[in-house]
Amino acid sequence: MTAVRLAWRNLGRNRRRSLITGAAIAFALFFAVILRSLQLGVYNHMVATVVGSMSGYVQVSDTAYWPSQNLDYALYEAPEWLDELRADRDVASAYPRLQGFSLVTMGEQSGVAQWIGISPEEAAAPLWQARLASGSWTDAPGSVWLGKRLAEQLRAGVGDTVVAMGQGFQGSMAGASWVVAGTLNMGNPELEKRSAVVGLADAQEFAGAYGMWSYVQVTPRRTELSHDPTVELGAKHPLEGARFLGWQTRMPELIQAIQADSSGGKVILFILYVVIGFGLLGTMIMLANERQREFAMQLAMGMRRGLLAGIVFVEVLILSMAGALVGALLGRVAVLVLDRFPLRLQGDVAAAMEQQGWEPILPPSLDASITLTHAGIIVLIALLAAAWPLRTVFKTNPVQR
Amino acid sequence: MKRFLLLGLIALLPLTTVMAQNPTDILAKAEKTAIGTSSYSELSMTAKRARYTRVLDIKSWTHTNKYALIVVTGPERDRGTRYLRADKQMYSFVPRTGKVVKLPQSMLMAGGFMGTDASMDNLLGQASLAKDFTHQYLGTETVNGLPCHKIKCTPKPGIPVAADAVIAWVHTGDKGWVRLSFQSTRNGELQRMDALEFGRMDGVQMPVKLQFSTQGGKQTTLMTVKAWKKQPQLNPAWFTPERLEQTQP
Repeated sequence: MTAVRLAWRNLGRNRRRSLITGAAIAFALFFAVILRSLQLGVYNHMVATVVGSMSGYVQVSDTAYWPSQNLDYALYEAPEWLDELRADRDVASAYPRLQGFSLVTMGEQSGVAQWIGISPEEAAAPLWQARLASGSWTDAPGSVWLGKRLAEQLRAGVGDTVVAMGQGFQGSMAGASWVVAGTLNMGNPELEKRSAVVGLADAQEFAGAYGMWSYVQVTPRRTELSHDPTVELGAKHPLEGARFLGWQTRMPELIQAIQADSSGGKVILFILYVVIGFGLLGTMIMLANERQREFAMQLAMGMRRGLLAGIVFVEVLILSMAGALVGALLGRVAVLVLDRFPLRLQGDVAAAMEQQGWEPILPPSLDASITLTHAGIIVLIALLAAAWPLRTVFKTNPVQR
Repeated sequence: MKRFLLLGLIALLPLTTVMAQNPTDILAKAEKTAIGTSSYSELSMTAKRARYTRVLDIKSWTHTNKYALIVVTGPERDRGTRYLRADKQMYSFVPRTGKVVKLPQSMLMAGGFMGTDASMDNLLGQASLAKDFTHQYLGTETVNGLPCHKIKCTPKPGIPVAADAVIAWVHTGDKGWVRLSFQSTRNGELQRMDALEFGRMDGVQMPVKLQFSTQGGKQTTLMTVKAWKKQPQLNPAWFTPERLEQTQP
């Protein structure tokens, strides 16, 4: 206890030095948190755009459904199981869908489309509501919402009738005429060219897959990259003949792209830490040199080297913890501000991103584990740098000084 | 001994001339009934899949290999689905939509006629192996227990076929083709057709039981010819979208 009190007093003895050291730690952490949060945030944004709205973070489907995504491998409806899944606190939403491919024609025009049968609850969700480019969402059976570009290709407008036909469930003939109720901005030209959204019941009727789902699209409450709830959810809510697949498994190329990019970010962080680490070491060497006389004096008066070293260690510990706390708080505030007012890209880059269906913003990740990890790293670096003054304590000769 | 050998060679001579006959002629002869006769037929197809078996019954009218009308009579859900091909135009009618839909020509090349392993063009009239392909004679082989000429057919430019090559095994006698293998240079064998049984329908010799296999034989569809009649009165003008709409199953 004496050691802590002495350490605290020592910190106050040269306030400027303590402040500089603490500030260095705080700023290092502040920048590391912002850098990493932005980088991981962009990945989250990317994943949310690519999988969040369409194929889903987690899919529950027949064990044979992936990778062919064949309509024949549909699941039997399981309403009780779905209710139970939806009641899970870790699940933000769970929507059953039925989907497949068909030819969509109007007059002489035709195109191949992926039809997606979505449940009324899903259509009512803000996501689909926001996608409407024209027309409206209605409950009327036999309605279809076409991707904007598909509608252009067919020269179909709201109120027109299109005929869809193709292969249905287990080889049967799928055919229906649907009335265009609206067109959709899917945020992705490719999807806009080949998507036709219908009600789940219409889709089941169309494909002859009565009472069947292709998969259940599950969005977990927490969607950070570091958190993959697939296995956990699968264990909690087993469904016979089905399995839970995370987007990481279904789209390995996406996770690979992220990993490749992320290692670049880690290199930059490493450089930041090396710079900060040497800065801290410099401060520590300065501290050791300035206080060598003091150490010698204390040792001469009979203070044990171990206690002295302990005091110096506690000093660095307090300093780095305080610095990390300030840095973490500043970083958190900055991240929250960035989340509220995200950085928005301008010009060509923004246009290119919008073309690919991404909102041109750089939202930060709100994952608190980023702050914790990097606070840990920076405290560790500070403690490593403290090795220098500790060494000085043990090397100082009380007689010769 | 020498004289005996010589005699033997002389005796074999006419046989070799038969064997070295023009592959184009062999194919033309094999296709003669299929392309040259207008007909009405009733077919039953059984597609075997890992999880289900599907039985499809159809009626079909054909004229050469460019005109065809197909009406599905079973199963119940698909009853009344119809396809029409009139040369380069293709149409379809699905009772639930109540509309005649014009199909893009690329549909002819798309595989899988109504969940079977037969392709659209297998049923709606495929390109003539004799006329639309160039040929290379590859010798004789025994296929399904029958001695056959093996002929590699490469499509002439501009012919709408999905395969890069078709290997045809044609019976050395008068049974016609025994096996057709549709090959793609990238994906290997796309589809295989085997004539399993031959019979006589309305006085014409033809395969009455056929097997279509895809995915390297993992999926097969058996097709049985239940009835076949000559229909000499059919002509191109008969195959109209109105006919498609009106013909009941």
